[in-house]
Amino acid sequence: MSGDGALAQRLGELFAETFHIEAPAPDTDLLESGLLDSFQFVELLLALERRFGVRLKIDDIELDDLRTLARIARKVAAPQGA
Amino acid sequence: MSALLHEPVTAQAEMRPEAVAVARGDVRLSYGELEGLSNRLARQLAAAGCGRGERVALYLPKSPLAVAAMLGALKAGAAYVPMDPESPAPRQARVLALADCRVLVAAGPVAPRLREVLAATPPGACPRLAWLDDEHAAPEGPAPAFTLRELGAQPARAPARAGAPSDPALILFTSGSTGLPKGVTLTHANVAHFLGWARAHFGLEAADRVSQHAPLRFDISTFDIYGALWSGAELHLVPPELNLLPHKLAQLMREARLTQWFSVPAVLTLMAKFDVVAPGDFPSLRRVLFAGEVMPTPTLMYWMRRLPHVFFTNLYAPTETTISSSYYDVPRCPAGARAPIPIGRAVPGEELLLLDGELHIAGAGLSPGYWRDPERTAEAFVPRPGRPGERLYRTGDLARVGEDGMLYFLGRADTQVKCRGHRIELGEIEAALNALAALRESAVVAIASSGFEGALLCCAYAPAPAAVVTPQSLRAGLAAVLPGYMLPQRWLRCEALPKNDSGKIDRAALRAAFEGGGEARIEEAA
Repeated sequence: MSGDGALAQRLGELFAETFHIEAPAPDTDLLESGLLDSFQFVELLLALERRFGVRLKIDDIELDDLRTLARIARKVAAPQGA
Repeated sequence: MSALLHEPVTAQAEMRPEAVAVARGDVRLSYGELEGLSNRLARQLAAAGCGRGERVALYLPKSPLAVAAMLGALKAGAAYVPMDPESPAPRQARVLALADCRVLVAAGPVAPRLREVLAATPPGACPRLAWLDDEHAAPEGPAPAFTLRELGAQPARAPARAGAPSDPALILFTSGSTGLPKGVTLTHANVAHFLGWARAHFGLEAADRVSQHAPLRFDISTFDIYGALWSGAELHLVPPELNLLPHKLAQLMREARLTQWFSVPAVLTLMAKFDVVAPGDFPSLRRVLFAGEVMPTPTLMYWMRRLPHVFFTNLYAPTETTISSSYYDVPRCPAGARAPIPIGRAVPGEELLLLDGELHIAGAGLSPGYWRDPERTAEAFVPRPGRPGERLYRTGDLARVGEDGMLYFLGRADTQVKCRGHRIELGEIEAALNALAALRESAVVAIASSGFEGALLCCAYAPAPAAVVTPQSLRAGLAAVLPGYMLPQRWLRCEALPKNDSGKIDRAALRAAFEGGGEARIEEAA
């Protein structure tokens, strides 16, 4: 869990750099707050690939996986295709 | 007598009350239910003093209830104004003040934002609140003028006819270059004219299952809604959050067995980029329509190769001329990725004229003008040369006629850009930047993006002496007054902005700098 926490923090930094916003808290609802829209989602996927070397398979992603940084971190940390 | 927009819907409800009219996921309203609910709302609005000559603001998530609220407002004789709850409160308050609505119909998890908006609206322009939601709490403050309970006490019978085809039916607010949004007024007759042609051209019928993808404040949504409901078809509302997940959009198209899909090209490009369409996918689908911005040819090729059974049509019109003034039925898959997609030829009843290369539009779709804004109306809606009493709308779009006789869009005569179908005046962003004290000068330019979103907004700025300015602080400042889709995505700090010989900001140089990612070059030039 602490691993996920650290990852969520690094994701927050990535978010802040990529979108020029303050890093959201790990449990901020990114969809309701409008911090993540389809444009930013694509940028985020690209940034994840560049920075973390992870490639998320879009077919495996549910809307709820994207709701908070903590959940995105969980998705990034999970073995792909599992 | 020409129909009011809600009347053919009533006729469908009388013929097939049990048929599904509007669906969002598992939430469905039959034609009979839609009719009853909108009749009750119309009666309650009338009781609240809202009738012909008035306006109703709509503050609801995209839902069957929102569609019923539109019909209810029209049946009361009023025009509706779809609000954008995601845009910042001060901007929404300006829209509310300008629209001068008698009632605001609201539902959903909107209470905190709505409270801010109402607090920022001048008391004289503050509408009475209709709160149509039992699950979410109304905003704190004065009790709503009515709720679902009062609505339930009204008879479900249709109220007496109120209004005429030339009455405003809806007012759609769009970006204004001076920083103030402007409201495009569309009448019943404007929309009915387009529907008359489009329903026949596309062969809409009761067996259709029609997508409703665009936000309710986009004029193209009126074709989805009334095109389907006039035909007795099923209208399937697409939840906006699905735009994040293109495979979910495809899944909805598949599972709802949609026969018609209509969206901005950005969405079709997003789905193509993630390759979520299989060869021969969506066997029920018959038509894909797109409008609102230039369709990238590779996107169209992707779709047409995978779906040879589907009919593709490009529609073109500014909101001011109602949904679409021209159309292009794509005859075959484009031969190459560089072949431009024409905007086609005029819809019957409309005329497209090229005057000095700029497209002007005349005809039955022409809006009466901008809501309570004679000055901007006179600038954009001009007398037609040689035809006294007729008007032309100056689109600001540059075009040419091709050898095939079709019209081709070339670009803009001004600094309006399209970004994911949103119409954005760069001047409105610059006006908001100028209001931030920390900047000496600034400019916003748009460049083509490599992604799906159309234009990429880029801001160059020079801080005021001793001011501490970061892209982050500027973005936060702008986010307080502009909606998310108007916030620049690229930033460039300069000591001074580059100027041309006449001393004006050299926008071409700025665009080149952003396109090349060459920040250093600009610093030298400055």
